[in-house]
Amino acid sequence: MSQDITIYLTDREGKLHTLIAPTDMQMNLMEICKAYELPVEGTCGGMAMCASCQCYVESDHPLAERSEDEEAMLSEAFYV
Amino acid sequence: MIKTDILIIGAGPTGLFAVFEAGLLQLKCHLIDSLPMPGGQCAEIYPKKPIYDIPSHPEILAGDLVKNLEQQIAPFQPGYTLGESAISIEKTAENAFIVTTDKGTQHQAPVVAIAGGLGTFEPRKPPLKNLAFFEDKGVSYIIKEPEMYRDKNVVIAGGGDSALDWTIFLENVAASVTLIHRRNEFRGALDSVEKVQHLKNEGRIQLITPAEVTALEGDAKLSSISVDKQGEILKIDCDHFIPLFGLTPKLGPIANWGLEIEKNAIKVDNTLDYQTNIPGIYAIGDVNTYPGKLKLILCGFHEATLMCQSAFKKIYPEKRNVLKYTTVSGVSGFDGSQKQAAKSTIKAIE
Ligand SMILES: Cc1cc2nc3c(=O)[nH]c(=O)nc-3n(C[C@H](O)[C@H](O)[C@H](O)COP(=O)(O)OP(=O)(O)OC[C@H]3O[C@@H](n4cnc5c(N)ncnc54)[C@H](O)[C@@H]3O)c2cc1C
Repeated sequence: MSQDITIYLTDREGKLHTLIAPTDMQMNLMEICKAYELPVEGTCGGMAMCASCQCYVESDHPLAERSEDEEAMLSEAFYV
Repeated sequence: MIKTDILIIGAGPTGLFAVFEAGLLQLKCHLIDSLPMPGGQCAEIYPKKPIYDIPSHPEILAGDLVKNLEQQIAPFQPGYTLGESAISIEKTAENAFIVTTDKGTQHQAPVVAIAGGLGTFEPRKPPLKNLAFFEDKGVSYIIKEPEMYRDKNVVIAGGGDSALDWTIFLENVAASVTLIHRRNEFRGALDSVEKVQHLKNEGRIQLITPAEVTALEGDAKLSSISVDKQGEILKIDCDHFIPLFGLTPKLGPIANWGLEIEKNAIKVDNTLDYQTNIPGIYAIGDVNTYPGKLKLILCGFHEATLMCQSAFKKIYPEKRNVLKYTTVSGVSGFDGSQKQAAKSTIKAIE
């Protein structure tokens, strides 16, 4: 059995949400937010083509290196 | 006035396929799209990316899906109003709808199918103070009239293909072209990146990276911009500033048509025919919502098919009709073309 991950998320209004993410469904952060019907747009579905699903990771969990595509998209995104 | 049976707003995959299903029922369609070409998201956002969940296509490029749909519907001779947004709708005394575009083109039909997807694609605007004030006074997001820039000083911002392509193009037209981007790396066709590098090396354009435009200045019209290059503030005199940061979809004017909206989408009756709260107006594809809705191309195709059957009954309430298999009845185009399964040979063996 896979172990769930608990994610604490503060939305733009400052409201705290607790999200339980399964680890065997291959979901990224944008997708888990969508699964909880939080108002992320994620128009491109996670192809690094629109930057409409930004969040800041405040914990010090190790993250994968940003890919070339992600770097490029972020450099055209506003408010980051 | 353009008149048709089903007026389809949005020429994405859903709207395109609706033309085919309508054609099988002898109904004519006309499509309106704010983009200059058909295909919706598939054409605008990801034409060169593969899709793997179109039934019977193990893999197909989004652009090819659109091309195939255009080919499939060609016999039904759809009309197109491209590059125009549908902005208003009104009902006539005869229970028909009149839809008018931002350019004033009027369309009349007894049935309207909104296949508007995520909405009209609008330019992404950088968060700069006074940006709206300088629109059409030096700031523009699309280049409609390249001659407008002749012998002017132009600043372009962005790091993708359109920023690169327009830099290359305007270098021949404008007095000066400055390209500004937040990074040194550009995401564009290799050929364009190399051309811009060459123009820079020859001193024919000015390239400022990594840098960001932070302010717009001018009285009645734009006269200069401020640029932050790693903490150093540069002031650049210019007549035009063209931020090219791609397009983003917005539901737009359709939201004010008196249709029930939920989660930025139009509520429809999915137990029957994808009709909205206004009889005669349907919503199909990504633009609609109902319990269990999935924003997928194949779902849009299904919705388009059921919508057409219902539209037929609405237009011809007295006419009997029955579902036919294309394999059995073939496809008779409005252009006189005929597609028919080959008849089996019947020959005696003596
Ligand atoms: C990167 C990416 C990958 C995807 N991958 C898949 C996948 O693998 N499988 C899958 O099934 N789906 C996928 N999708 C989703 C799929 O593209 C959409 O479900 C599909 O495009 C919806 O088709 P549509 O015709 O309903 O709307 P759209 O394709 O959004 O087309 C709507 C059209 O309506 C026009 N329009 C809107 N409002 C107006 C107006 N007022 N006046 C004039 N025109 C208007 C728009 O300009 C647009 O052209 C993906 C989407 C993206 C962005």
